[in-house]
Amino acid sequence: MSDREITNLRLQAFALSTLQTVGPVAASIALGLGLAGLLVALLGASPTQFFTTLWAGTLGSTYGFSQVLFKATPLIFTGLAVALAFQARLFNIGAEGQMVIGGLAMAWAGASFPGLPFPLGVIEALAFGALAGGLWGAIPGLLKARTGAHEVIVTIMLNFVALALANYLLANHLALPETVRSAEVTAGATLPRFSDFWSALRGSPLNLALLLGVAAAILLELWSNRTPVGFSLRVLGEGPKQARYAGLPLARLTVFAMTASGALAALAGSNFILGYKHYYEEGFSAGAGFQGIAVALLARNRPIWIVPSAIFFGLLSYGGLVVNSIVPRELIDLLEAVILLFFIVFDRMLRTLPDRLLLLRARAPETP
Amino acid sequence: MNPAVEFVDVTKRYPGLIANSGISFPVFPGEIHAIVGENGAGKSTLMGILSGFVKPEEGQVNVFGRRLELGSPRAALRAGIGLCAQHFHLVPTLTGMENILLGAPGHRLFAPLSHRAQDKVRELMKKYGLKTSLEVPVSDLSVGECERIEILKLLYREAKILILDEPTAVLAPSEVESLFTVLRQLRKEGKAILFITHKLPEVMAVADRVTVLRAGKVEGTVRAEGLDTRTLVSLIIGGEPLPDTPWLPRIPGEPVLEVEKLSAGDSGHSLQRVSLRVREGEIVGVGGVEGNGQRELVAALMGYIGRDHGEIRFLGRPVHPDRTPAFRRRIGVIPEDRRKEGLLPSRNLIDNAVLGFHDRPPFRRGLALRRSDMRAQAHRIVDTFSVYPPRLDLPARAFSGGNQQRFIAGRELSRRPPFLLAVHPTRGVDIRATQFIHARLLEERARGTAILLVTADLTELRTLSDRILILYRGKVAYESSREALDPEAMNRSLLGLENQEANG
Repeated sequence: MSDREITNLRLQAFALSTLQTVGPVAASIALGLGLAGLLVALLGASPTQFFTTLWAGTLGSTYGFSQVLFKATPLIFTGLAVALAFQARLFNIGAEGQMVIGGLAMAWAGASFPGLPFPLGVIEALAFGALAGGLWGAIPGLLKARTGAHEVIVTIMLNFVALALANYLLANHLALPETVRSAEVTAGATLPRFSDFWSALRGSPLNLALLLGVAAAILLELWSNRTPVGFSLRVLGEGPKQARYAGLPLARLTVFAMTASGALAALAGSNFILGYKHYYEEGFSAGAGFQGIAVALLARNRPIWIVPSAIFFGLLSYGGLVVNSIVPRELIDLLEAVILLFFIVFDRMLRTLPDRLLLLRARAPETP
Repeated sequence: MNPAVEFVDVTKRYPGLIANSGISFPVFPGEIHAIVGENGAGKSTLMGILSGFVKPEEGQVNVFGRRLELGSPRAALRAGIGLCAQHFHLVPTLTGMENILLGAPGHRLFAPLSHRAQDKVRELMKKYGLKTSLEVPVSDLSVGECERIEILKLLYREAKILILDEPTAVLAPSEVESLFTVLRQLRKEGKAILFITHKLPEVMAVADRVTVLRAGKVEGTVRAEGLDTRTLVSLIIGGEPLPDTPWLPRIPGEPVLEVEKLSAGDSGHSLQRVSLRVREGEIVGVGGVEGNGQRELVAALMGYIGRDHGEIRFLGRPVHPDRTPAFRRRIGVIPEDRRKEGLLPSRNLIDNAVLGFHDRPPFRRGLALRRSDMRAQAHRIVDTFSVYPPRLDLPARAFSGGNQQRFIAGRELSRRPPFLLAVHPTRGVDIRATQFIHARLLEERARGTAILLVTADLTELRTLSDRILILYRGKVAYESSREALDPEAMNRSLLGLENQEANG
């Protein structure tokens, strides 16, 4: 094969992989928005007004965009949590529970050491949160490694347990008298808001947790591609038989993946607890643990793509509030689901069709 | 005479690949017609077309002078075409009788088996000497028995054209002989038999004519009588074959792997008190009909299953059952299933080149992987083991079986392990890759590597091994050095007819 042909093949492969990556995302969003316009018209409202309001309220203004990012922040963490577990082919449906347990621990730790200055207080609160969430995530990991219990069932069930346990602890030990929330975290454990430095964002809850999330995404991307443990996890994800053949410690890797995933999910609580309200209350997660699954799906479990994917979902969830005066907010939930369904279908189609074309061309005779 | 099957200009294209190109040849009633060719020559596609699973773009197939509706398994069945696939299509929980009658004409799904139908099956069994148990679930039967049930299935449906896809791959020599007797009898009755195989001596033994396929085209159809293997090989590979690497006598060194009275595995195939020893520069071959404990031996060595009893020693030190992954990482292993064990199918060759060793130098420095060293390693393997096409960026699944196997062998040998476990190293691999892998194994032996070869291929077993062990029902049924080997006794031991323990 000449150099030119090889270059050609490489170009084709690149074009194809770009198409496969961007294509389904773009197509499903476009189709979803189209369908949303249609539904708006059916509901008797003006699609033009719907889209202009949506745009102006979210991406069209600095304040709106900061709200989008605020909504996106916990989704970055939970999306990363789901994606990390999935690299080892483990479905962590329990990010919600891990976030709840981790959040409670974070709020407790943030309020319990008043002597710690910033940023030590933050680090300490994050560490306790991650530890609690990690331990909670380790349970399904251990059960899977020891007994083969399927992590999907275990994590789903543990979500209920986590919620009940958190409510019990809050009601009986951690809540301030006459309230249903925990004590406020100390000044040293508070994440500054962007509005402290930038007046255009006045009133916006956007805080430094966003930067922590982006940093986590970058680190995880590097970690999973460039380190031996990241490599091992991906081997396990490719197939347990290969991992076993290669002599990798399957049980340890499984527990590790679930623990790290739980810790990441727990950090999602920092946006609310350390950056926004500064305390724990029931429902603080707002379903971010479950939405993380959708975020990871749209990002195809690549840590670095989790960030745009989370921003997109943040846009939808804040957008729902913005357009509430025109159409019911549920329309946006519907839009979210439709986009995901389109994405799954397109992704499948594009992945199986042209990939085969490319591969078969390479399947030349047995030997030169 | 009207041909039973006539292929006329059959062409099947897959994107970027022509699997069958203008295939034309007839198969006559009362003929055993062998079809040979390398991996990817188009044999399976052609048989898929005949049995209706694959639809060609061009050409037609005539069956007894009538044009066959292509792409319809139902039409193929009605035309009297029966396929005995390489991987049997049997329901494991049903008995042989139930499998044979399942879906057959005259038998309804939920009705009790009719006595008439059962009698007919028994008659067929007696008539053709196809001995097998019909009353037990087929999961309890040996592969040879399963195959006989598959053939009975075809005969019960009165197939006039039988396609047998590598029917002898898993049989002991005596079973092969009785299969051939059945085939000859069927030929006498005027059935047309298409017989796909990689084993050329069988072609000479049983076929009337041979059609050679190469790169999707018919290379020629020749009479089997008077044909010699060499001519056939050169037709198949399209050139003169290279000479085989000679096996040279060599005095083995110190023991590297010792297995002492090892018992492992549950079910009927468990390993029972098996002992063996592999020394430096020695190939010890473990053979036997499949399902007699070979898989359990490998699984116990790799630590996939626990040991009930016995000890494994590596370089004089015991290998603790909990420490087998560490042991595994000090040896080389060519696994039984290259796609599901030995390779990461969707990852490129660079990742595959370091599978299992990615976390140690030179591929790791500090916390990070070293991409450049991984790439260099992949390059070395592709170069020295002639992997084609030499493209590191392609996922492993894009390579043919022979090239995948070369790559795995290259990776496992690249670290110069003191011990190599080679499990069916050339199964489903074509002539050239087989020769190549054999040569590498002998080279390793000359270098002083201890090799444990597990194979169902008796020719491979005998040409490579210093010492041969035959397993039967989990026990060593025959053991002999290369020099003292008694082929008769070895063949008997495959079916448990030999009780002799050690010999020379």
